[in-house]
Amino acid sequence: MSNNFKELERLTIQNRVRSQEDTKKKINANIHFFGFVSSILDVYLPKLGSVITSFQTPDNQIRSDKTRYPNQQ
Amino acid sequence: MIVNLLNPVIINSSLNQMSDEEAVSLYLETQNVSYFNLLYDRYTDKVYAKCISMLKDDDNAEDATQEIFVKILLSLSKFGGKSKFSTWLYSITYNFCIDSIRKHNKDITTPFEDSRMDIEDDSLFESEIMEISVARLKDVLDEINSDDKSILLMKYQDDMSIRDMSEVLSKSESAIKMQILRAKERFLKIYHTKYEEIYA
Repeated sequence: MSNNFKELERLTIQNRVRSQEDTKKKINANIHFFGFVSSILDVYLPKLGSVITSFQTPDNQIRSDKTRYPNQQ
Repeated sequence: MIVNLLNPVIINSSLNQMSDEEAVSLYLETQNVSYFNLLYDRYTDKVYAKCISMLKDDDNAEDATQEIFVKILLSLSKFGGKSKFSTWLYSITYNFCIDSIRKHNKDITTPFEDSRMDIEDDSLFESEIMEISVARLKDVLDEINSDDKSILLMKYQDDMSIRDMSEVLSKSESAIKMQILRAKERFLKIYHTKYEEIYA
């Protein structure tokens, strides 16, 4: 028994006008964008942690470091 | 291995022989775009055909195809391999199209009709539907609601089993059988109304 649902699908694909390459390029651009964002997160996220911990360091500890090493810039 | 990686002919031939599921796991492991492109090349036309059948507009279908592949890209890690990759991809495609139709309130509402037919007989109306010409099939599909259309396409175009459909649509197998039966009934009702001169 012939299946005209599949034939309809075949004809629809055959009549597809726009180039697939356009869509493929857009998706690849998306992939590169997600990669770029994740690279930025990879680089800056660990640093963000150290920035937050530096804010939490008590002032007296920094002062005591200065008295211990007075010639330090 | 290194020679293989550097030889594009070997890469292409090994990619072509690769199963969808292998391509997914290799993409997740390596984040190499070639594996995703392989899946895209294999399925873009089929996804587009489903989108245009559901959305009935070329530009919307192209946009939807792109959005569906971006969605697939972002949720590849959620593909557990329970079903075939194609089944998973088609389920996302149908759900995306149904959501899009509902969002724009373009769906056709069909009154609920109680069916007293035997739901175990999945082949009911089969031969009649199969005999409909492509042009008429397209006409009738354009007039039925998105739920009926998607279930008929899953059954006749994608050859999905009742079990696959029940997983994809999160419904019991008997509910799926009933839904198919009602979709077929409504499909034939529209077909007979549209081309009633033949039956007069």
